[in-house]
Amino acid sequence: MWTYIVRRLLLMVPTLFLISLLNFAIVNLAPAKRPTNVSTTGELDTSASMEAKEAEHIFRRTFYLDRPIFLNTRYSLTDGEILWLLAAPAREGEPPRVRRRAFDDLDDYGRTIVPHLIRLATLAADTRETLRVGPLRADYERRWRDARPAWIRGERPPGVSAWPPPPDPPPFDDAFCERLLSLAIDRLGNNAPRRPIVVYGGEAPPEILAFNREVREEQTLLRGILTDRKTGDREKLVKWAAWYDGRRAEWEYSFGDKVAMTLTETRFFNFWRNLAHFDLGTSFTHRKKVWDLILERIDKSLVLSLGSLLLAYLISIPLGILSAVTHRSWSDVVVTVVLFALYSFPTTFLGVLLVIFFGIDLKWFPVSAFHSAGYENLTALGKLRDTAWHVALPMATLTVGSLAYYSRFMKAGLIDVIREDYVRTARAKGLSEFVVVVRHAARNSLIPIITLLGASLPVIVGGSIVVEVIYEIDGMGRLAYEAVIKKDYAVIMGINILVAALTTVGVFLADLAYAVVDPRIRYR
Amino acid sequence: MTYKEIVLGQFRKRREAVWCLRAFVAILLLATYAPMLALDVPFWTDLPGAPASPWFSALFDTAVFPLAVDAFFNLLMGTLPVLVVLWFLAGTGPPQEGRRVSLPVSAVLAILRFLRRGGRPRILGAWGVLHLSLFLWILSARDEWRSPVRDYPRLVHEAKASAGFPPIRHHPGKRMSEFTLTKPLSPGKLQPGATAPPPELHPYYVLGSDNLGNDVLTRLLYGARISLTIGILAVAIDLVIGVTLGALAGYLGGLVDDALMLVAQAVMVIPLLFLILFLMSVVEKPSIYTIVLVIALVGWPGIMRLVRGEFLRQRELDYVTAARALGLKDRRVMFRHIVPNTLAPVFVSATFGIAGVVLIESTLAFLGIGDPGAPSWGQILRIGYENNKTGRHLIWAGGLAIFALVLVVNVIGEALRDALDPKLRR
Repeated sequence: MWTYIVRRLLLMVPTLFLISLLNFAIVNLAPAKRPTNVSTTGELDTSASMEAKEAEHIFRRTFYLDRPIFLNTRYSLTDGEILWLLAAPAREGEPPRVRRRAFDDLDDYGRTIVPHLIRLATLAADTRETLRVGPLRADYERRWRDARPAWIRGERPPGVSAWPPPPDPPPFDDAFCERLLSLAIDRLGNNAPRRPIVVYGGEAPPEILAFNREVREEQTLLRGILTDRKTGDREKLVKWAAWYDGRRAEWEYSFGDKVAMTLTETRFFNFWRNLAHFDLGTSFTHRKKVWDLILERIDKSLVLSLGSLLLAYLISIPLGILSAVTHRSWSDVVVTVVLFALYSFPTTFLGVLLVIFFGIDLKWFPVSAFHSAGYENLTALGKLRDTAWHVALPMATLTVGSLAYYSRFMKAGLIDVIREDYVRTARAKGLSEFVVVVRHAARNSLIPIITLLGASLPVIVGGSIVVEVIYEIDGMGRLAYEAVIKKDYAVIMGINILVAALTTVGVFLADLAYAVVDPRIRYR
Repeated sequence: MTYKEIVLGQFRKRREAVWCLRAFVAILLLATYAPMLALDVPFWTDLPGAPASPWFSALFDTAVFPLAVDAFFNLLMGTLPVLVVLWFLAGTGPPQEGRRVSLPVSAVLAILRFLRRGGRPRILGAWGVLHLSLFLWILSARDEWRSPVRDYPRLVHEAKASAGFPPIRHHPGKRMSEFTLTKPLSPGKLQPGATAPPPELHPYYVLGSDNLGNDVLTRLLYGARISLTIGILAVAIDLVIGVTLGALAGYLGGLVDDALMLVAQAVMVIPLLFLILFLMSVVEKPSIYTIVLVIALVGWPGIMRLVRGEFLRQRELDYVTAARALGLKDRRVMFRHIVPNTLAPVFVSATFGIAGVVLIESTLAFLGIGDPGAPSWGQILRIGYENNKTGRHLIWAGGLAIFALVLVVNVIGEALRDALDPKLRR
C-alpha cells in the first residue's frame, strides 16, 4: 500500500511536468506576442494608451517574452547584426512588418547591446572612413542581398511576372552616417536605462526595493542626457561614452557568465523557476498577482463543484437503489427514462431554462452573484442561508448531468450484486428486504461508483465554467473564461496548472478511497 | 448466425433504439437536403436577367454558401442517391451476361460487376472516392463560379415574375437588419420602428427570427450540418489517434506504454472544457476546422485507454501467437488481426463520443468562442439567452435541437453497447 502511494505521488511529478510543458507551449504559441488592450468583444485596441502599454509590459515580464526560448547567446551578437537592425528605418521599400520586427528585436535585446551601440555611434560620428571600407559594410551588403528578394516577394504587385531589379545597397555616405548616429543615440536612450520593477499586490521584497533605488539613481544620472533637446547627437554621444566607460565591466562576460546567461536568461528557465517558487505571474487585465486572483475566487468554485458532487452522490445512490429494487416496474421505467433524458440534457440549456423560469419569471432565486449585498453583516446562519439561496440554481444545473450518470451506474451495479449467492443467503436467513438491500447488497455495489469519483472530478470542475458564466458567479471558471476572451495568458496558465494539480490530487484520493472500501484490492 | 447478425438482432429488439436510429437518419437527411427545404433562391424562375434555374448554380456559389461544409452537403444531395442505388444493386443477383449491348452500357455494366464483386465495402469505398474527389474539385474551382448576389424574393415580387421557391423562403445567414427578432409564426414587427416583412417577400417565420432577422428554422436546418460535421469529424480523428496509440501502447508495452499512458493521463487530468478553452485561446480566428482539431486533440485518451486495455487482454491469446508464428510483421498483426477484434467497444465509445462532441461544440458556441460565421445551435441558444425577454423561442429552438440530437445518439450508443454485451443477450 505505501509503495503504491509513493509510486502514485512520484507519477504525479511527470504528469504535472507535462501539463506545465503544455502551458509553456501555449504561451509561446500565443498569436498576440505584443498585446495591446483587448476589449471584451475580443477586438484588438491598437491605440497604445498608457494603460495598454502597461498591460503589454506586464505580459512580457510575466513570461520573459523578451528573452529567447531555450538558449540565450546574446553575448555573441555582432556589430553587423545590430547595424542591420538599427538601419531598418533607413531602408526604403522594406515591408512594415519586417521593420516592426527589427524594432521589436532591438527592444528585446535591452541593455545587452549597449557596447555595440556605442561602437556603432562612434564609427558613424568620427571614423566614417573605417565604416565605409571596413568589414561592417561588406556584412551589411551581404545581408542586403539576402534580404532583398524577400521584400520584393512581399511587395510584388499582382499580375507582374518579372521581378523588378534589386536596388543597390546604400552608399555609406554622410547622410546615411548621420541617420545611423541619431538612430543609435535614440536606441541608447531607449535600451540603456533599466526599468524599476513594479510589484502588483502586496509588499515588494527588499531586494526589489534596493534594485529600484539603484535604477532610480541611474535614471537621475541619465536624465541629463536623455531630456536635453538642445545638444546635438555628437555631444550626447560624448556623454554616453563617458557613462559607458565608467561601467564597462558590466558587459565583459567571463566563460562562467556566458554559460549562466545561455542557460538561465531564457523563457524556459524562468518559467520553471517561477513555477518552482509558486509564482504564477501577474494578470494584465486585473493588475494583480494571478495567485491572489485565484485565491479570491477558488472558494466559490470549490463550494459549487464539491457541493454538487456531494449532492449528486446523496441523491443518486438512493435513487439507484430504488430503481434496482423495483427493476422493470413502471416506476423504474419512468425513473430510468427521466434520468437518461437528463443525462443527455445540455448544461447550457438547463442553466438558461432555470435562470429564465426560476430567476426571471418567478423571481424565486437570484440569477447572479454568489452573495447578496451586505453579506458581511449577516449572522453565521444568515450567511449560510444567503449562500444556499444563491447557490441553489447553479448547483442544481451542475448536479443534474452527473446525477443521472451515477444513478444509472449504481442501478447497474446493484442489479449485478443482487443476483449473488450471498444476497440469497441473507434473504434465506430471514432478514428483512431493507436490511438485505441496504446492508448487504448496496454496500458492495458502492465500490464501482467510487471509482467514478476520480473520473468525474475533471468533468465537474469543467462544467463549472458554463454554470459560472450563466449565473455570473465570480469563480475560477468565469475567471478562466474571461481570461480566454481577453487572451490573458498568465491567468489562463495559472488556472490550468492549478486545476490540473487539484484534479490530480483528487483522482489520487479517489483511488485511495477505492482501496480503503474494497479490501480485495491490493495495490502494488 | 454470424456475429453481425446476432448483434443486429439484439439491436433490433430495442424498439426505442430503432426509432432513434431512424430519427438520426432523418436529421442527417434534413441536414443534407436543407437547401431543398429552405433557401431564398428559386428552383426555377422567368425573372429577366437571371438564370432559369438559379437554385442549382447557387449550391456551389461562395456568395450563397461561403462554408466548405455547406458545399460538401450540397454535393451529398446528389451523390447520396448514387450510393443508395449502388448499395441495393450489390444485393441483387449477377447482371445478365451474353446480351449484346452498346459500348457505354457495357462499360457501365463492367464497372457495376467490378463493384459488386467487392461487395458493400468496395461500393462504399468507390463512392467515397467519387464524392471526395468531386468535393475537392468543387472546392478548388468554386471561387470562379461567383454570381452576383440577388435578393430573389424581392426581385420576383417586384417584377411580378413567376418562380418556384423552396417551401421556406429564407437564407440561413443573410442579415436583414430591418426585420429583427420576431416571434414564432409572425411576420409582424416586434421592435418599435421595425417594419413588418410583407409575406410575399419573406413568408412566415415558422419558429420566429433571431436578432439579426434570420429565420430560426432555416438556421436550425443548416446548423444540423455544422453539429454533425464537427461531431463526426472530431470523433473520426479521435478514433485514428486513439486506436493507433492504443495499439502501440498495448502491443509494444514497456517504455512506449509508460510514456503514452503518461501523456494520456496528463491530458485527462485537465478538465476537458478548460483544456479546450485554453487551446482555443491560441487560435486567432476560430473556425469549424480549428474547433474540430482542438476537440480531437483532447478527446483521444479515452479511446486510447480502451484500445490499450483490449490489446493487453488479447495480446496473449492464441490467434495472436498463431499470427506471429506465421512470421507476420508486427504492424500487420496489430492492425489486421488484433485491431478488428477490439473495435466493438471502440465503436460504442465513438457513438457516445459524437454526442459528447456535439455538447461541447454547442457549449463553445454558447460561450461565444465558436465560429461566428457558422449557424450553430449553441449560437441560437446564446442569442436567446442574451435577449431573454423577447427571445424565448430561440432558447427553446436551439436547446431542444441540441438535446434531441444528443439524446438520439446516446440512445443508439446505449442500445449498441447492450447489443454487443454477451451478458445481456436474451
